[in-house]
Amino acid sequence: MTMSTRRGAPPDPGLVLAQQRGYVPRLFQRLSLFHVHVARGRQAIAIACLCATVVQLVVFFVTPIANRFYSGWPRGWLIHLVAVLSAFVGGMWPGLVAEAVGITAIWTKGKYFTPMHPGLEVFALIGLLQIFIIHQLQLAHGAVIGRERALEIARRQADDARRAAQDANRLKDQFLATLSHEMRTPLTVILGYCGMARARGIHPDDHPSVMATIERQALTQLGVVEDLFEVQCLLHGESRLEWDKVNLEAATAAAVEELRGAAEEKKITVVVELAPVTVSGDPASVRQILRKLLSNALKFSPEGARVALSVAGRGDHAVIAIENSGRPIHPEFLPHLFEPFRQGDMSSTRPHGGLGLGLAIVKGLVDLHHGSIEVHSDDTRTCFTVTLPQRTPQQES
Amino acid sequence: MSSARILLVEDHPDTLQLYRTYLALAGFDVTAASNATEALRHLASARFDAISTDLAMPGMDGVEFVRRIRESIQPAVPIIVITGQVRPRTLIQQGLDCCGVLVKPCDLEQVVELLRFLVRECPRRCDVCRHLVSPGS
Repeated sequence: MTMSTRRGAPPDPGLVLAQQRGYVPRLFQRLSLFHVHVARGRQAIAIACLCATVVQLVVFFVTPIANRFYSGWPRGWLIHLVAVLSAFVGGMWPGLVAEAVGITAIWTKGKYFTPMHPGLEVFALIGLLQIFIIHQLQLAHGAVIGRERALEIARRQADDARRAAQDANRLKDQFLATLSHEMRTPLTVILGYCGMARARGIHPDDHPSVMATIERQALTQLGVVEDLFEVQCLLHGESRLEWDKVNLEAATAAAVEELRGAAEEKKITVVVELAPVTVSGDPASVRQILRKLLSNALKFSPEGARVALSVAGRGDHAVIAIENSGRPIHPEFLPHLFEPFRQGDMSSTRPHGGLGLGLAIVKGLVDLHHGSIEVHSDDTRTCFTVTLPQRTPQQES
Repeated sequence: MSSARILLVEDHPDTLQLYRTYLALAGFDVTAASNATEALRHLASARFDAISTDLAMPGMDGVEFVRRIRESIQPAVPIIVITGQVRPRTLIQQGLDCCGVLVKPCDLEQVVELLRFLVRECPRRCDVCRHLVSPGS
């Protein structure tokens, strides 16, 4: 079992890269089973090979001495057999050659050379050096590769950081441009009517509608300012929640009533399905969650569409679902949906205004209530589902 | 003398209502459109003495709208742009071919003066009035 887990262990990436790129001569790699196993991450087998190699080296150096005492069958040959096998397993090919020479010497009874021939010691030395040389080569190249990899990783990290900074900067510029536009629009109307009253006069019959327009635009601007403040608080983790019992049924009905005008303007039918559910939370924030989600649904629904809003109890949670038809949310934008300062369409031809803060605020408030929010969007409908616990840690403590 | 015909294009309903009322009070004959497509329909059936347009609008933006008018519909008509975007000079450098750019919120008396000037002077001395840019507010 241990072996199988070891086999699964990742090999040294520098070494693997060295092999893949041919930095370490492949012939050398194959010559040594030890290094083959190291490269493949089989540490135990590699260590076994190393042991076998050491045995072979010891046997090899001992052989000439051994031959002096056990030059005949079977003991001398047994030693040679062990040496040959361990040399094979350890991948000590020069050692094998030395063994071959030694065996031949014994076999020919020293006719051509003796088992104690000085050349054999050279072979043995080469065998010893083999591991050392290959290892050094691999270490050296591994180090080179390691440095290259480290550089590559650092470069990639720097690129990522730069790109993130550029993205953030672009987002900031876009947001400031949008903010400027969103602040200017109501001001245009308010200051426009002021100028008109001063320079041209406003007909008394028009006073009520002009006052209503000015008030509407001032409230729009107030909404922008409040959203900015809210998102600032949420981003800095400042909770301004005052915990109480919130009747979701009443809060939802109030939100629907509040946005009735906006719905009627686009001839949208709001279908409401309410259950008597109470959650623990900040009443103003819960109302804000409901209001923002509903106004979002109305904003992105086409004229004459239908928006469905339901509140239900599920176990110890309350589930609020708001569904609208209309164009689906772009799949690429979905992951950024709840991020502040982002909008699906930031072009000059976007059909809807706004700062791109609404859903970020909703998400932040839902999080503060220990709840969750999910979105599902396909070709036919978009549905936001908010789950709020009926009892929260604040309430229990 | 009959009053000058102005085509007003603005997607924000309250702003459109304000401009329409103001320009009508100033004596212009105003035709209002809430987007560029609707404005192009008006342009197909009537000639205007001047056009005032917003830039950021759903469907077709003001830059494309101005390009289309200049290309074929009424190439010599004076056009002013009233926009919430804050870099009017950049827009003109990028080829927005209009007679003037005003940044919201602008003094509507200034718009009236500019439109009167353009209606009076532009057909004769177009090079003089081109590319007037309000300094912004």
